[in-house]
Amino acid sequence: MSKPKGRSDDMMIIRGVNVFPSQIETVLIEQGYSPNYLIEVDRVNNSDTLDISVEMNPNQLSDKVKDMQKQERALAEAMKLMIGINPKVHLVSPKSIERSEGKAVRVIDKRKLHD
Amino acid sequence: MANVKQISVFVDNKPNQAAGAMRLIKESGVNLRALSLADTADFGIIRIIANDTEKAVDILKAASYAVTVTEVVAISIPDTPGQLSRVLDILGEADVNVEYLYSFVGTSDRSVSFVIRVDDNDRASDVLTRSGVIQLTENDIAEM
Repeated sequence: MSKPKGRSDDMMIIRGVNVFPSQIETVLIEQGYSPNYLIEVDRVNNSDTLDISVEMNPNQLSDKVKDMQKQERALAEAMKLMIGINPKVHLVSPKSIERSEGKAVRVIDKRKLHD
Repeated sequence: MANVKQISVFVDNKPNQAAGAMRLIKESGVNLRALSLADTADFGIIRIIANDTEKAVDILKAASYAVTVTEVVAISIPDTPGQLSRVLDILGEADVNVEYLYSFVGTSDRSVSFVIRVDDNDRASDVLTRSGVIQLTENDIAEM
């Protein structure tokens, strides 16, 4: 039996793959990012999309756009290794993702709106 | 070496983000000499040359903006055709790579100033000095 990946009631099925928010969080912490993130799942042309907004690390800010885009790609690559599917990572400002008391809303699944 | 300090600020690519950073700078009384904004679908990086770098950095950081300071080359060249091309040729021949550049208004209407971000400031300064290109210093910027 493999190690538990997270609570089953948090589990998302994206492109047929089981994905847990806790897996995303683990990658962020490992890569030196704050564990504040927002997952947006949608369905475009019958295919699931996975967009993850991550607060950029202020210590890693570069004046060069290509360096920042490299960080986005590296993070997407690390997440793909962890969850098995390719997400789109969006870097956002520090402290711009809403903090909430208790259990934070970290997942927005827009697919349900279409069903 | 005659380099100047450039402030880079990370902003989200959303309404009011650049305005928020500019409002803070306005309230601090810091004067901007030059500015350029590089944008992507997700975010922008505002690059600023200010008359008081330290003060601008402090107030932006206090408001949770991600800020970094890099040294860049700033030059002042005559406002006549072919001058920038000459400068870029000098850098190219010295194998200095230009990452980006932007222009700003200098103190005289017969000259124009440029911020040039290169991969090797020392080498760039050296070849520009040898070719007689005027480079601006932190003092020049502060006194503008």
